[in-house]
Amino acid sequence: MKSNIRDRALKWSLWFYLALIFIFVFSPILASVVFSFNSQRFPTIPLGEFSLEWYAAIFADPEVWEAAGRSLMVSLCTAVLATFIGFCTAYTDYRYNFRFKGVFLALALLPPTIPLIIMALAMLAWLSRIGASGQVWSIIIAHTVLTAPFAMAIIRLRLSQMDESLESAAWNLGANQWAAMRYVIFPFSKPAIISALCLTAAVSFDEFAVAWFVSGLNKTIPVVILEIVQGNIDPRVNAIGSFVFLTSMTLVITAQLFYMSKQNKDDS
Amino acid sequence: MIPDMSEPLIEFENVTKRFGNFTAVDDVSFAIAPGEFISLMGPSGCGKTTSLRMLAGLEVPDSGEIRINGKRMNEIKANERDTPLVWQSLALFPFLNVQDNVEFGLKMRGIDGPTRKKKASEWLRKLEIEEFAGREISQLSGGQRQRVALARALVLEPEVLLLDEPLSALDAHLVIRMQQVLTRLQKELGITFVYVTHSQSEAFAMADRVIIMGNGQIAQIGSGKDVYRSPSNRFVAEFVGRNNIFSGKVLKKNSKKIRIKTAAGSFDVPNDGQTIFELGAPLSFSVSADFMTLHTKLPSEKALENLIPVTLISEEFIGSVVTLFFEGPNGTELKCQIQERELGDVDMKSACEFYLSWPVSRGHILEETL
Repeated sequence: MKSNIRDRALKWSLWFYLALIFIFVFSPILASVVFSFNSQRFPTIPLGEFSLEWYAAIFADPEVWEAAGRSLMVSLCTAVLATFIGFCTAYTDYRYNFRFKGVFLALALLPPTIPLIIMALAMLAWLSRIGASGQVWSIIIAHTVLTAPFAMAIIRLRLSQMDESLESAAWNLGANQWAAMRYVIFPFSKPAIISALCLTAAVSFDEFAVAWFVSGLNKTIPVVILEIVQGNIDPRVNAIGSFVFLTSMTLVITAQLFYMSKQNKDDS
Repeated sequence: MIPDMSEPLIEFENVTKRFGNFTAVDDVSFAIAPGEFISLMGPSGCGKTTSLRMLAGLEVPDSGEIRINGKRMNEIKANERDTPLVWQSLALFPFLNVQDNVEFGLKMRGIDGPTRKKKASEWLRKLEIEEFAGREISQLSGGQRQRVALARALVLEPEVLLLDEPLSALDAHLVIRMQQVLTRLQKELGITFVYVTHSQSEAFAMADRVIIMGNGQIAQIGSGKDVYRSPSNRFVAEFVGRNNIFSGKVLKKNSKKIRIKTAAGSFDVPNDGQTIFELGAPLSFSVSADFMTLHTKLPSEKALENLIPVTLISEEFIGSVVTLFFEGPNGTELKCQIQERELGDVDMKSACEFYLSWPVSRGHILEETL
């Protein structure tokens, strides 16, 4: 009986602890969302009235629109390129054994471990040296380098769950290498590929440091946000921030859902 | 029963396959006639699966030649051969439903949609799973998946079907059921089946001939009865059935019998006259455990020449048959297999001395090659 009470106490305290963590993580974001609908200029309590004026302000601002469009395009292109490269790397790892494979994998997974500022500076130095900085596609190149390892990790995990005879079975039934890739490897990896597309798009959409260094005059949304903040305290930031957060979270959650639903189905 | 080998369907000629330092298949030669049900049998790592994979083109031999219908296959790619394989894991495509799984091979051969659909339905019907055509693989039971795997391979209507331990994941009662399905299919279709297994009950139940492999080499080829009753060497005698194996030296011989001195005593085996054994030459023979007779006191009959005093070690009860394990003189291990109902007449508890005997004619000489 006593242990029962103790168990229950432990359970509730763990729930409480979990709740605290979530509050700690999400309250700043929540505050930003709340203040984005607040009529007052400064983020203070008590709140003013409910207002859409800051949203109206950013929607009226052509610079924000331009940056949003650019961000969208960059993240789309980045997602496609990074996922393609990630898939190729993951498949190479799955299918072939070769000398220095460990080195190959380490190199492929390296970019996210480099501090962003260092990465950004290096990218700027290198891209400007070859005359490719300050363009929209400079950001795409930089973001592809940055996000391809995420795509690779996701797809590699999926391939590792594949019955090794599946590809051989396709060959055995008359599929050549390309047909086996198209009709077996690709459909099997599809949930992971969609996850990778969403996740790399989200990372690229949010990414500030590298974009700020290599974008030149082609500002992306995070860069615009920083410029607004640098000038003064402006509640428009809350409005843009909420919009960016919503976009990224949608992508990330979609990625998760795709991955989980497919796995449950395979396990059943 | 020797099948007609004038025009064999499949031939292995001195085939060798190495993986690094490990020789998986070592200079193997055999031939399979059209329409035969052949079982490649042996312990794990004996080279049976590698042989099958070479036949399917999934491995390339290092030396030797593999021929199908007299045509050299070594350089033919897996996807250009007509050798569908039923995999141990079944390897069904989880992202396709039953119908699309069965149609896969036809699609890869560029056959048009309506024909594919018709053929797939036909084979689903033959394997009694047409009602599951629209199901996902994950919704099927083990036995149903097995049938889908068979349909996916047979829909190509090949001359030879390769099977790699396809029943190893099934429950015991389903194994028997699937054995009947396979045997019936093979007889009806007249297709050559090459069936890899480590289970002698599966091999003996279905195969016309059994190829027993050990350490990458062929230990014996013959009918199930041949290898069971007349193992040609020690390896087969140990792998197949429940054999008592004795090793010793030729003590004396006449035209009918050879007397062999072993650690457990001296015993007679029949002299078939085919091989000439020198006096003192090393010789092994086997006696199947079910030919052993158990006595609880020293038998009086003089006729029982091959008699060993033994002590009981343990017993193994599997339904109607019981295997008793004994220790003979000088630590010799001996086995005796008798019907459970016969054992009921023997008072195992109070009996303190046991004897095993067997007729001279049941001794079987082993070639000492493996």
